[in-house]
Amino acid sequence: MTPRARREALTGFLLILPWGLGFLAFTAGPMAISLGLSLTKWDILTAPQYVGLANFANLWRDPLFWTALRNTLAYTLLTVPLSLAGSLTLALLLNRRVPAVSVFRALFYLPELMPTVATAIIWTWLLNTHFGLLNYLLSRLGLPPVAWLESTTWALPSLVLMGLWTIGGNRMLIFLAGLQGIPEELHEAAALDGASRGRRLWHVTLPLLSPVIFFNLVLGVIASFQVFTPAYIVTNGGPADSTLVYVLYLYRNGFQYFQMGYAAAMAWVMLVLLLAFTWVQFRLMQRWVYYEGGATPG
Amino acid sequence: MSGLAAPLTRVRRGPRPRYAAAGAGPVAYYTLVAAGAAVVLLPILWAVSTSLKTAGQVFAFPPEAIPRPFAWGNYAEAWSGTVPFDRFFVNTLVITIVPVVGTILSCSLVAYGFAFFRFPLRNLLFLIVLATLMIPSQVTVIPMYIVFRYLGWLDTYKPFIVPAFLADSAFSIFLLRQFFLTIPLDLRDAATIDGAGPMTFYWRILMPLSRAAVTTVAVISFVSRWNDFFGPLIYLSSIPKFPVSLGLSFFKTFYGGGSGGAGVPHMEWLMAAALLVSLPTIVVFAFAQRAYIRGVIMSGLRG
Amino acid sequence: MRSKWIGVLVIAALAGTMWTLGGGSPAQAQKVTTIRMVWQGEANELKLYQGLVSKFEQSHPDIKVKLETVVASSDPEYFQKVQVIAASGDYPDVIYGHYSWFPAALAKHFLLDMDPYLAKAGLSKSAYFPTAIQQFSDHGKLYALPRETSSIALYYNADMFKQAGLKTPNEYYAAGQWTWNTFLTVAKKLTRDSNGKSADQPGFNPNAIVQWGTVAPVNMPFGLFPVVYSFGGDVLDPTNTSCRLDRPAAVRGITFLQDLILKQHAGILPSQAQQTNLFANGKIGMMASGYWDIVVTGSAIKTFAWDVAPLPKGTIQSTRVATGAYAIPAKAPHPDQAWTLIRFLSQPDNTMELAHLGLIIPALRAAALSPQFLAPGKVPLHRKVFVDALAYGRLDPRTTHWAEMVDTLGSEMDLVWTGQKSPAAATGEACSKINALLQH
Repeated sequence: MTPRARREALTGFLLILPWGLGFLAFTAGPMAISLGLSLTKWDILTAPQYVGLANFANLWRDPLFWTALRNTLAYTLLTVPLSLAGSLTLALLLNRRVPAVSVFRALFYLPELMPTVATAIIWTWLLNTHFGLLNYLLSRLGLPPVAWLESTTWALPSLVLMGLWTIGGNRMLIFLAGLQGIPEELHEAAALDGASRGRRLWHVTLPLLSPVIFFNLVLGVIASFQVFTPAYIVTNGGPADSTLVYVLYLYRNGFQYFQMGYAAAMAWVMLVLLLAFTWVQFRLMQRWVYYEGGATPG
Repeated sequence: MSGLAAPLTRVRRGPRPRYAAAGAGPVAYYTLVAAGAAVVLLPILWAVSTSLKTAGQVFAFPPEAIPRPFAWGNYAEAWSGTVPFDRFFVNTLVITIVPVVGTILSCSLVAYGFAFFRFPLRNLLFLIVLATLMIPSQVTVIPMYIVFRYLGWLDTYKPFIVPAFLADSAFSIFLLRQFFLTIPLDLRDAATIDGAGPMTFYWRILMPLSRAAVTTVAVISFVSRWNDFFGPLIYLSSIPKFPVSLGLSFFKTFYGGGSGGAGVPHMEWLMAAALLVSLPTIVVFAFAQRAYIRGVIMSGLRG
Repeated sequence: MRSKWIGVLVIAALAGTMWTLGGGSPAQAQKVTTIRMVWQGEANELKLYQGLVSKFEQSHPDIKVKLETVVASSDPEYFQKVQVIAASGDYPDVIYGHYSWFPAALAKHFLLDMDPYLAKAGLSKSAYFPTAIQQFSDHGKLYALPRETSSIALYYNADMFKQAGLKTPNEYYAAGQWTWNTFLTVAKKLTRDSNGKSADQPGFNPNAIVQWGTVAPVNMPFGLFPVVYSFGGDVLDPTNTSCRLDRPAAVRGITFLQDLILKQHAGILPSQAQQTNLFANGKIGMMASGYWDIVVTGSAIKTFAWDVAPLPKGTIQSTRVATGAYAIPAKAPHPDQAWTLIRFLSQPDNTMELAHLGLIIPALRAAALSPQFLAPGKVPLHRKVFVDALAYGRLDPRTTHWAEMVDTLGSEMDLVWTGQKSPAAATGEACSKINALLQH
């Protein structure tokens, strides 16, 4: 290492020191303990017993584990592409210097601000089979009512719908922030060269936005893999486990079925799955994410 | 492509409507955006209308859109009739604003380190940062509680504040890093040649240049902390210390596990309280909007 | 990965340091003992308890009470916090809890035997409703002092019955005719479509119902279990080691409910009715629920006369009883002071104050049977049915797998109510899963 490189490394370490301290003080311990607990049978009320890899073997044989995993994957596969596309479109639409655009941004962001209790009540009403607004609108179109939350077919899509309510929320905001960094000159230069709007979007905007798209993709997958609140409050996993998502099943095992060791095993399986996914994304990223800065991404 | 000098050019333009880029003329543009907003807004309008109804009208069927009469008293009842929301508000401000400041400062520093400096194990450490996002909090809450108990922090605001100053938001670190990576390294080198140290570059150039990203982190962490329910539920036990998210629970009942009236004896009070509770987040968002005006971000460069 | 283990070491060192530094507690100087009580309460209950606690502190200057109120809006959230506290060894002195958590707490020897305290105080268990004592007893020893109890009865819209020209459930009951068959007949007559036709008339359109005869009592567990019980069925066998829901009696009860919903179109699913408070809104004839709904739902009823009646009879008259109680963790730091507080809160006058909020039936028999509590002449007029039902109501089976069992059964039942599975197939499936659970 050259002295310069050493100085750079030292500065880098100093800069990430706050995270290092916080991680060691508050996160590393609990994570390590949960890893340890995944090797035990622990009912919370009495001392944990070491059981080796039995929890993981039991997971493999637990049909509900697979149900939960399948539901979560389905939710993720539906939610992530739809909400990424929706949020990006919305951000492009609202990234204009036109009158009242800031009002529209605020309106689209509102769902993100509603407290969870209110959101849950609003949605159970909207999706009510007999009195909900959604079925009322369907009936006006001459369509039959849908048992949104009572049918094993529609309950999971209903959760996806609830998730899409916030396409104008945080994800859109992040895209909007990303768009601020794209110099207008590039667009104008491209326009002067006669590039069509579609080509400008494809060749200028999206490449420059790719680091942010990458962020929203990775975080979107992590977040939707951990979806919990709507499944917990609105459907409670039902009907017939059709909305039993991964974290809900984990929560039930940990706090309701007195199987915290099993829950910890589930958590670490999830961690490994998400890490693998993220690692693959970071590999693939190098093909499509363009960092204007030229700095080497990790 | 990396020879882009563009970010260094000061960009200042007067407001000039750019409907064309949206795909069509102003009429089409506004129709499209307004239609979208209406769909998103409908549920919230229902909440507003519910909050102004009398108990008898809340569940009238067929539903009535306009409250008759307007029961403004619901807001007074929600604010002070059941539990002291003014106290909860102040509490929430404390456990929201202070941690948000901590998150911005600490996470931007850490992201700066990850984005601009080479050091051993950088990629591994960054992967660990991300890994902390991937473990469900349900399995770490008990050990976490034990840590806070040993520290004597239970029923205080320290569990919300101290970790925030130690960059506990991997989300924010990752987000800021992504933005920092789009800023040319040349810029830092140029600054270094001009005699600016790493901290000067961070504070005078990087942060102003990343205004939109930093604002985004601020808004997102403000909103998520403002509405956080499980953290306060677990770590706080004295009612005078409660935040608004726990206060809202007083409008629900656990009797019968939610039979009969959805566990909410007075839906109109709950909705009024929920709307009051979300007001500060709306104000914060309105202020934050200024960061999303194209062209502005460059102006801080030579200041 | 190495940094993770370094992290463990650092945290251990940190924790150790804090432990040593924080070792000497300053509280030893005074003789005042502070005890902690973890409980769940609503806004009005909270005000009441704050008053009771300050009264207690005045009469017991050597004890200070820290009320740790969990405002969790659901039981799972409440018990999550209780479990986090318990797991970290941060034992409170008093815990309020109820039936669903108790079997596990008992099986893990988490709670203190209260018999010695009862004996010392000269308290007799017979002062309480027998089911309430039974719920918290094991091998004859009591592990929690019952606070309140509740049974399930039937709320009905009296005006709707009158308009349909029907006798009220209480009149049927008095005549000995209040059976599930009568219930079905009545429910059909009360169900109306948008043309005003009732569910027993030709031309009735089940896709355009505007008024339902009843909420189908299928909620888990307090809707479904009473029906199973009164059809003569059981959930588990008497030793709580095997599932009996697949036996003919239970299957008959479940089939009755499935028909009520799918064939007769006279029952709306509880989730649908809850969200829109349909009963209070006058769109539902009958609803099986607990005592708490007198306040929760009853207070929202403005436009019609209503009352409560016993649940219909199947082969037997039955219902479900559940109880909440104060307990002391076996490892509580100050069990004696905890008992003093529990004793104080359980005094008849303090119990009555809680009862006056209207959400609970005191588990203390004398209090529940007092005219003060039964409030003759107050709506609902037949409120005493809840207390009477305590005599014939049953407790839920006691198993540490309670939550898992209810979830497993609920998942199968969901398919029954939508017609995707027959009651026999669903209960068979549920029982094989539940039996596997109970083997653990």
